[in-house]
Amino acid sequence: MIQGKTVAVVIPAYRVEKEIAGVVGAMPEFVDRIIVVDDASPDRTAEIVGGISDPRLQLIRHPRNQGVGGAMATGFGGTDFTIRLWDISKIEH
Amino acid sequence: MIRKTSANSRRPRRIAIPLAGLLALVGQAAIASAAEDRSCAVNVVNGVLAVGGFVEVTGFAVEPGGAPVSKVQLTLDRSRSGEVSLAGLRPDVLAHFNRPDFLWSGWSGRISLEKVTPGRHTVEMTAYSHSGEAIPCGTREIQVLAAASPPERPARVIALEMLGRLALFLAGISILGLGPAVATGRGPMSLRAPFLGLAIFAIAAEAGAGLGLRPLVSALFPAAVSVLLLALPGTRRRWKPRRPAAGTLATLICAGLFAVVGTVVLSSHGEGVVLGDIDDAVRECSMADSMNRYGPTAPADAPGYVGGMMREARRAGLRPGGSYLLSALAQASGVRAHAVHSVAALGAGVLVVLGAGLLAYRALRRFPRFRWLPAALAAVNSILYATLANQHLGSLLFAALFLGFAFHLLELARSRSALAVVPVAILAAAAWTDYPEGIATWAVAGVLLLFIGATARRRRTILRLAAAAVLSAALNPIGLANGLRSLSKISGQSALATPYAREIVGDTHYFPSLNVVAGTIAYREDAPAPLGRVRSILVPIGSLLIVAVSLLGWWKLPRREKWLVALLVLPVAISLAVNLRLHFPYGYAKYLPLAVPLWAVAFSLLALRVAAGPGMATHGLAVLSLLLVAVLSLPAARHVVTRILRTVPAYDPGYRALPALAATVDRTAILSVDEPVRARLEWMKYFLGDNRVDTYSSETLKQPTLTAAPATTDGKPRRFLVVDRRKTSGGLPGATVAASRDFALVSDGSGAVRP
Repeated sequence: MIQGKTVAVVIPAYRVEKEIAGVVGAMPEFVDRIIVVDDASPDRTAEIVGGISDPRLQLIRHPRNQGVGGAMATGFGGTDFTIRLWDISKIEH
Repeated sequence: MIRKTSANSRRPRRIAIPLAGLLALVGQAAIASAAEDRSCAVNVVNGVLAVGGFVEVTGFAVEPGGAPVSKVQLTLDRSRSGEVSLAGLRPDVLAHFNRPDFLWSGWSGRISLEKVTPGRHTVEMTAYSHSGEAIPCGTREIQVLAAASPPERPARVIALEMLGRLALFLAGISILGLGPAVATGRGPMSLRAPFLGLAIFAIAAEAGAGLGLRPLVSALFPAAVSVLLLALPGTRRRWKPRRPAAGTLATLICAGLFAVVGTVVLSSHGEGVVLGDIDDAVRECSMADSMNRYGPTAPADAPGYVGGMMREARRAGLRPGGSYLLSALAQASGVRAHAVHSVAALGAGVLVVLGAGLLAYRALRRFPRFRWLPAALAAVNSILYATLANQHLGSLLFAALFLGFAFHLLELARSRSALAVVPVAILAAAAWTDYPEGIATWAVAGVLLLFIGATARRRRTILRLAAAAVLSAALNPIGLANGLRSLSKISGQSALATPYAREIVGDTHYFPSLNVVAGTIAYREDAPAPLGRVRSILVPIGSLLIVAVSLLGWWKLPRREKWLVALLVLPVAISLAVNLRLHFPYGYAKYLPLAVPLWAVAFSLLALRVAAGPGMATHGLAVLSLLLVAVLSLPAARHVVTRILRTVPAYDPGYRALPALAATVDRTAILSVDEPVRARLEWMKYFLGDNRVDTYSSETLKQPTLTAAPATTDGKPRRFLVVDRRKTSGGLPGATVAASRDFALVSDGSGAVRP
């Protein structure tokens, strides 16, 4: 939680069997949910994520590769959050 | 709340993206937005809103068919146009519309506020779909503050000075290379010498750095050796200064035209300009200045950002090749490195054009009257002009060295003299210092060489290649060690470890088509260049002609020349294909300046073979294809030149006054700047380089945590804020210590002396 808000991390993952455990393990405490989207990796990415015991972790598997955009869209779809665009009035100078 | 949405603002190219490359943080309390249901919107209006400054706008645009759109037009008062980069990363747009193909929908543009009147102005943004439909993004009112114009010399004076420094650069490396060129081989000395000189300079600078010598001083020894070689009776007999042959002269003219156009374009932005919004150039300039001020190995107590730069660079495994060149050029010109960065890029670009001519000298042996053709095709190619504005100095140096290497490889295979090994070894040795990332490309060229020439000579070629490899390692052992270390660092970068990370790290997912290499389409790093009605018909015709002539030419080539074309095309084609396979558009882009001259030589050979055939039809086909390539290249080059003319320089001209401001305080003082854009922050550090620099936020005046700093007499470092007066409405946040037209040095309002 950050300032009372739930924080989720979406990780589009493809052929990252060597790195994925380190990244998930490095997630800070304020992250409430970690959504890993395995984009039909031909390697052991999904298997390694499946073996990580972290209650925050959720694995979504694509039957076929959809690219980084497709994996990200699936990840966002897997959240309960409402995602909106930037608030112009807040960030415009 | 979406956190990772600023990717289409100016980001460094080599940011450390963890593993899968992308994190999107989302929260329950989503922000309401006025832009939610629009297909184009403005998100941020920023910049230095004063006369002489610039306005920077970022947003997103989509069309039903996907993103990016065809183009985004940015105008000031509907008259002045800005330059817009497409294909910024916008996971929030993807998520909002639930459209994976909207990921690269961001755009970012800047308009110069040079010579505008103070007061209110209107910035208007319009996106255009691929079918030509206008998508309004909205308008914004901005208030431009008055500011006295800095005294700037006339553009023609700046252009002449730039040409003078370019001549100094080319003359310097030609002197370095002339003696060895004459002593070790044949061919047009005016073309061979600068390539060998560039390589010898890199080797000398690397060796000199090991001895604590500055690059310019290091170059004096090989320069003396080169002059001595020319004075030896043996070499003096072989070299008599004479008027270059017609083909060589035409090549020199093509390179000269490229130099003049590049100079006019660059000098229009004022003196000492650096274009491009990444932070590669500022890092190279900081290393060069550090070398000039403190030597290649700065003492541990060297003060400030610049003082610590070389230590930092060596720790990070950065290759110093471009910085050696900048250091020598800056020292020879008596200026700081930023003032010669464009000259170095222009000089390397000129060498690439000359390199096409050098290779043509060997490849077009049977067509001596047309040896200028590849240089002419290269000189009008939009990719080479674009490199003047994208800070890829390293890849230009790599391209120049490779062209010299390829020429001498061909000499090595055919020459009776064993001395032909030496130039190959020199050029290969320099590659370790200037661009070790491309070393595999050199190896592929070496392997392909074995298939050129008679089989009986293959053993000799293998032995010579082996000798060249050993000699190159012996010539530049420090460069070899540093190059291997640099490669090891690069391969270990998490930002390059995975396919998705590589796709994202270059700020674009776009791989330009091979038509840009041919020159028929203008080069853009972010998205395809709009073609217009006529060119959208002519370009496919040109592509068909190129393919037809290439196939026909290949069929007509003797076996030996087929391997020659393979040697010209395959090394770079494999490098491009590997980057495509690795999903790494940034790496792909780095090979394009090399692909241009190699393609130009190979295609010229194929087309001339076809033209030399007996049939009028095939003759006409070859001539038509060459004409069409030339005709289409000109508007493509003009498109890129126009973009460069509109580009806002990498650093604010007001930064030039920062060294004088920093000089008013103690070297141990810490200077805090408020600049959220990474590349501009690095430029501020460069100009404030004698002091340590950190950041603060003007909105909160929240101070960063201090790290250990040199102590002053009272044992505590002093801190000053560097405030941009053009962005400050109301009073300054402390007592003014010193001020320039645009900046003020202010005692830290929360207490000038901090622990």
